[in-house]
Amino acid sequence: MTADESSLGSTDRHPGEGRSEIGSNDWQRLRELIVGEEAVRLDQLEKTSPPPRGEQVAKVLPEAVARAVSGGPGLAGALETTIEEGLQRSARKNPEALAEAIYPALGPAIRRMIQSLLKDSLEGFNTAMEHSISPSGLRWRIESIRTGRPFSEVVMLHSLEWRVEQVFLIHKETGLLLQEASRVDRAGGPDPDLVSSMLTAIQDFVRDSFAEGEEGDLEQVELSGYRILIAQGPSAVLAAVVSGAPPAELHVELEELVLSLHVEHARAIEEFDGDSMAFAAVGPQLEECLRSQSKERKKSSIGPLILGLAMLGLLVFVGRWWWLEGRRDRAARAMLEAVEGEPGLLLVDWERDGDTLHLTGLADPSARRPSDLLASLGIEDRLQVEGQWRSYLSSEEPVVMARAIEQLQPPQGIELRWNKGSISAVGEASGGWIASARSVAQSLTGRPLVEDGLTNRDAAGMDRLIEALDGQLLPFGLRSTELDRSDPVVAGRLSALSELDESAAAAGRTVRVELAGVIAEEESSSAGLDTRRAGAAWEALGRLQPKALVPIAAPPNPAGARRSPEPGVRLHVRLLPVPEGPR
Amino acid sequence: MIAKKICLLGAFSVGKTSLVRQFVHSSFSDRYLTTVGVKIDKKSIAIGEQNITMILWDLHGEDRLQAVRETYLRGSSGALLVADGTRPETVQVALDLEARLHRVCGEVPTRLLINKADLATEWPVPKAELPLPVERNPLFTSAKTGDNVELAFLELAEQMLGSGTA
Repeated sequence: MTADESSLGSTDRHPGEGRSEIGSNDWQRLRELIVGEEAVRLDQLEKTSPPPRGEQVAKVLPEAVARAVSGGPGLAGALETTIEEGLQRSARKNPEALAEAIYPALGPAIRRMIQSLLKDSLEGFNTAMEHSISPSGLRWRIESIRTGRPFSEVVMLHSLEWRVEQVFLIHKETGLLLQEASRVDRAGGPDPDLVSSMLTAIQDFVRDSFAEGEEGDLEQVELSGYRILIAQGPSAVLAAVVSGAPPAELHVELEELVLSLHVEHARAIEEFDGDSMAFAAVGPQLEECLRSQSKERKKSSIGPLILGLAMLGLLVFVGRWWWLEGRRDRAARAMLEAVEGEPGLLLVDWERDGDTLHLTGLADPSARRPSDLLASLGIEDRLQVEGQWRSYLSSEEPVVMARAIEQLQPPQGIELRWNKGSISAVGEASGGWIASARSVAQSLTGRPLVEDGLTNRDAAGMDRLIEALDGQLLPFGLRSTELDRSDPVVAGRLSALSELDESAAAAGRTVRVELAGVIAEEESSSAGLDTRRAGAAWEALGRLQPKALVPIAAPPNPAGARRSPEPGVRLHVRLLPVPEGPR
Repeated sequence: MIAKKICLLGAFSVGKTSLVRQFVHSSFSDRYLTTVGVKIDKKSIAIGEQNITMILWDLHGEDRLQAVRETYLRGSSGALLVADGTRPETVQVALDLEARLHRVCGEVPTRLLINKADLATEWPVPKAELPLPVERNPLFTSAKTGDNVELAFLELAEQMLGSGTA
C-alpha cells in the first residue's frame, strides 16, 4: 500500500463510517496514532527504492540460482518445462544452431556407437565365415531357413559365448579403485588395487604414446581368451575383464553404466579422497555386470530336451554297440583260446572284422573242425568263423589217436590207448584186426603196437584147426598125381588151411605143414606116386600164398612108400614155437 | 581404509625401485619400468588407528632418454623424492620433479630422501654440504641396509593424513 493510497483511503474507502460517526480529521489522527511511524518510513522507502530493473536482477540472479541449486532440486523442477519449451522452439526455429551447439558432446558418442556397430557386424561376419562350412554351420543354415532369420544373425546367436569375470570402477585421476566386483571363482587373482592402478597407467601410457586428445582413450585390451573392456566416464572408468567374445552391446552397456554412476554419485566421485567406503553402494550395480552368455541359454526350451534325447539315444546306441562289441570280443577271445589249445590246429594269424573271425593256419585232417569248436563253445550266435587252413600232419597224441581210431575202426571190446608215444590196444580182437593194428600203429607212430593186454580171438580157432587138420589126408584119385580141387573134401581142407594161415599170421605164429604122400594098397610103389602127390599138394598150398604156413615135403620113408587104405597126401600140422626176441 | 597414490620420483638409478623392494614384496616385474615407465606396488600401513593403503607408483627415473610422464603424476597424494648421495646433482633433479608434481597435483606432501647412505663415506660431498635449500630436512636412507626406508614411508603417510590433501 502506498502513501497515496493510504491518504485516499482515509477519505474514499470508509465514507459512510467516517462521516456518520467519526469526522475525517479524527480518522486521520487515529491513523497517525496507530501507524504513524511506519507510514513515514514507508514514504521514505518508496522514494529511495525504485521498482527493480533488469540490470539489478541480472546482478543477483547467478547468486540466487546458485543458492537455489544448493538448496535442493526445486529450481531444476521449476525451470524444467521452460527449458524444454525453449529447446523445442530453438530446434524448430534454427535446427542447425542447436546441432552445432551439441555436436561436441554428441559427436564422439555417435561416432563411437557407429564404430561399435561396425565392429559388431564384422565380428558376426567373421564368425559366419568361420562356421559357414562346418557341421554346426549346416545346422544353423537349416535353422535360418526354418525361422526366417538371416544366417549371420543365427550364427551370432549361437557363437557368442562370453562371461564377465571382474569389474573395476576406477577413479580416473588417481587410478585408485573405487569399487570392484568379481566372480567367486576368480578370488585369489591379482590384487584389484594394483590392477586398477596399472590399468590406469597403461591407459595413460597409450594415450600419451599413440593418441592425441580425449578421443584417444583406450577402449579395449585383448589378451588370449580375455578382453578388458574399458568404459570412460568424465571422472571414473569402468573396466570389465571378459572371457570369450563379448558382443559390442556390452561395451555400450558399460558406458551407460559409468555415466549413470557419475550422475548418481557425482559428489562422491568429485570429493573422493581415497576412501572407497563411499562407493560401497555401487557394489551390487557392478555385480549385475558379472553376466555371461552361453550357447545353451539362447536356445529354445525344447532344445535341451531334444539334445537330451539325442544324447540319450547316442548313449544307448554307443552302450549297445559297446556291449555287443565286448560280447563279440569275448567270444573271439574264447574261440582263439580254444583254437590255440586244440590239438591238430596251428593258428598262424587272425583278424576280427565285426562279428566275423578270420583265421589262418595249419589243420590236421583228423583234428576237429573250427566250426565244430565254435559250436562246442556255444558262441555260434555271436561269432562267425572263416578260415584258411592248410593241411599238415600233427604228431600230437589226440590227433594221432583220432587218426588211429579213424583208420582202425576198433571193434567192440577193443580199446586204443596212448602209451608214451606208442599206441597200445587192450581187449580181444580178431587176428586180422590185430595185424592191421600193428601196421597202422607202426606207420602212425613209427613204433610197434603195444599188445600187453591184447588177446587174439583167432588163437583158439587156430588150435582147433590144427587139431582138425593134423593127420588128415588130401585125397587123390587112384593112381592119380593131380589134386582135384573140385573134390569137396580137398576144397574144405584147403579152405581150412587158408583159415589157419590167416589165424596164425594174425597171431604172429608159424605153422609147419608137413606133406607126406601115401599110396593105396592096390597101387604100385615103384611109380613114385607118393612124392609126386606131395609135390602137387605143396604146389596147391603155395597157391594159397600162405603167410604163416610153411609147407614142407615129408622126408622119404626108408622102408618104402607109405601105404594107406586111400591114396593121397597126409598132412602133419605143427605150430612152431614162438621165436625169441621182440615181436 | 583409505587408499592414497604415492609417487616415487628421482633421477635414473638413485634406488627408487630398491627402496620399494625394501618396503613391499612386488607383484609386478621391474620390466614395466623400462616399458611402460611405471611399476605399481601396494603397501598397507597403520598410522595410529587409521589404516592407509599406499599405492606406490614407482616412476622410471628421469634421464636424458626418458622423461617422467606427467600423466603419471596426476592424482598423487604425495611423493617420495629420491636423490643419490653419491651423485649430488640428483638432488636438483628430485627438486625439479617436485616442482613438476606440485604443478600437476598442487601442493601435496613430499619427503626428500638421500639414498645410498650406506656409501656415505664415498659421497663426493659431506651430508651438510649437499646442494639443498636450508629449510629442507632430508632423510638419509639406504635401500641396501633398509635404514630409514620404513620411516620414510611412515613419515610421508603421516604428512598426508595430517594435511588431509587428497
